[in-house]
Amino acid sequence: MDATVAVSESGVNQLVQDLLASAHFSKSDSASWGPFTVSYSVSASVSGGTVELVDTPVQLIRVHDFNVSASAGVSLSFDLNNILPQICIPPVQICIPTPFGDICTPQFCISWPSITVPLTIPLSLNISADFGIQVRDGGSTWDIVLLIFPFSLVIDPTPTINAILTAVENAVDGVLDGIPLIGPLIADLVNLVIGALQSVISLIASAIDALIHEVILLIDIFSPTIPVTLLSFDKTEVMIPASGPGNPDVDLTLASLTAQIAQHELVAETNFA
Amino acid sequence: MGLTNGFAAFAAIDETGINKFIRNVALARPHYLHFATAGLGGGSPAISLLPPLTVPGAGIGLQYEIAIEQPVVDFFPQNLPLPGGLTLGANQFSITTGARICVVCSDRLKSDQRGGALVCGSIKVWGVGHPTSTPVGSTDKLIGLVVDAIVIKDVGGLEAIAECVAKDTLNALLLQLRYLVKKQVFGAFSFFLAAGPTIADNEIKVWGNLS
Amino acid sequence: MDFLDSRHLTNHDGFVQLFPAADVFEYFVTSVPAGMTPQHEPKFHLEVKAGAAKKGEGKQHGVKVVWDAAAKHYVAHPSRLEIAQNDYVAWHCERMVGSPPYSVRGRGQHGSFSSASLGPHAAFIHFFLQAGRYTYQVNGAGAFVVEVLDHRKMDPDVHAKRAAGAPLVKIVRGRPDQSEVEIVAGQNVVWLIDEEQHVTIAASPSTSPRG
Repeated sequence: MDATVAVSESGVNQLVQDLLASAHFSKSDSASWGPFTVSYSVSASVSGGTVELVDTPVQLIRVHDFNVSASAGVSLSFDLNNILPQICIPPVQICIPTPFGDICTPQFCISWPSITVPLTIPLSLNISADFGIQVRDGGSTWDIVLLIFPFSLVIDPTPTINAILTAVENAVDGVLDGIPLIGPLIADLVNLVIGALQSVISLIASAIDALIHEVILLIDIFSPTIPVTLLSFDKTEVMIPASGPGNPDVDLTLASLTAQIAQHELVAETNFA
Repeated sequence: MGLTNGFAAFAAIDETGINKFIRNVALARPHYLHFATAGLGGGSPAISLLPPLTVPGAGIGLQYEIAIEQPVVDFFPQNLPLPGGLTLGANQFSITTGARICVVCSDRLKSDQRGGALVCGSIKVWGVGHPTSTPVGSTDKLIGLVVDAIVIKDVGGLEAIAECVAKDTLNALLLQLRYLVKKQVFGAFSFFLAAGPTIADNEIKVWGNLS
Repeated sequence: MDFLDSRHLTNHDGFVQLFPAADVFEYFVTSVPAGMTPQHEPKFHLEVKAGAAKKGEGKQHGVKVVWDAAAKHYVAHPSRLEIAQNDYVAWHCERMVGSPPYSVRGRGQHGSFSSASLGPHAAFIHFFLQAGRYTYQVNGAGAFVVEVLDHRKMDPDVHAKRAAGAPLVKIVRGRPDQSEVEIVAGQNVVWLIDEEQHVTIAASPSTSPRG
């Protein structure tokens, strides 16, 4: 081999961190479940992780504990008129004596408001993954790319569910508290809303978590279909640049490149044309 | 530790690779190896210009040319033969080259032996030297080679003069062949020299960091 | 901020009209401005039969005002009502689903009545939902106050007790007999227009809620 380039485990770690610095994706979606319309947007970024260069039994780059930091911005809207029964106040008819006779005042039937509950749900996951390495012809470069092995990504929906239920409960309670003469009813009315929400909350949380999953997989390093370039070698390197007439560039052309992992190092070897 | 030896990165060029590099220099810039007076084509893009030599007492300028043979480099351990007086040690390279020198002999011109007016002779040159790194700016380094000892055989009493001139000529050529150390990683990442260059295992090796 | 205007009734309002003499009325429940007769809206019927009851001995009859979204007008239920002399009718709309405010305007053989021009023998009821200091005018003049206290700033039992009643404000010679009334959120105020005619009660433009 005409030339060799090797990168240590800590060097590869640094290269992976450089890759992750620009790894950020976001996506939005919305859907309705019964009376609840939810729009949600997820953004995720990746950082950290510790690289291990494995050469037996197979050659791979193992990254322990990437930290995926995701944030779901959720806006949940619903019209309380679609959930709560009609309630008219005061509960007991009020009649007052007048020169006409006793005038009984009409009841006021509450038109429930629509509520929009915004909340942000932060999420932090640790993912470990293995990557195979491959040399690809990049046209003007030889690229050493990472190909992720299938990995499992399990997102616990519990924090999402709890955050939404708490936020809705607080919002409904706050709104109903502003309506007089229903104080004794508020707890039951809130429970009606929470009850309606609970019948679909798992579906809502699943949809949000599915979007988080999708966004994470959009990040190139986690994509099973998009190889991520770890190192890119120029096929033609200008060793001595041109310096006037009669002194053109002096190049070296890499005719081929191989890559392997040996003794905890990533080693690339090349032959010049 | 492997190749990187405690550093983030390692890069090495094998002696075969260096000789391909020298070949490419010779192809791109032939005037580095070919010199002549104007009368013999000097001053063209492929041939560097030399001034004529004044022949003492003759009042004429001597037209001549020097063609240096494409050098071949051998990194320690030794693979190419060396003449007595030169040994290749650790962290050293040897360089094998030659020169073909021709002069236009005026005597032969006068007797109209135009076809045979060019009189030539060849010498073989061997040298041994060490690798160098020269700072360029605050972070870059130029990697090069410099000849420390030289041997020319079969030039009789002119040996010392020939070796002196040949050493200067070779080192002037090697100065033109220096390249920035980061070129050894072919653009794959930022490379900052921390150790080397060192010649061993038929390679010129450098170690460094990524930032 | 509650909308307070006897000329434009909403689901916060009740309109009461006492009928002291036998008559047969046709009336509209309409959003068409006063002075214009609705052309494409149904008429409703109210027959006041002669009876022995004196004023103050009659009973209240309720008419529900309902918005017909398909036909885009209000409908009275029941559409035909028979009452006795000195009975009184209370019109009220429970739900306004983006429908416009309305007025109740009727004409009989011997008299007429209109919620947009109250009296004689009329009452205007308004349910105050939001706390604040409401300043209102009678017939476009004066600055009279209904202070509505926030239920969240008082003991629930105290609030419930106060909300179990409704103050009666009589309009005499174009002015309320109480220039300032204090109630709690969720309580009605009943304005009685017994002898006066053509009375309007509306919030003055300077009314603003005070949390």
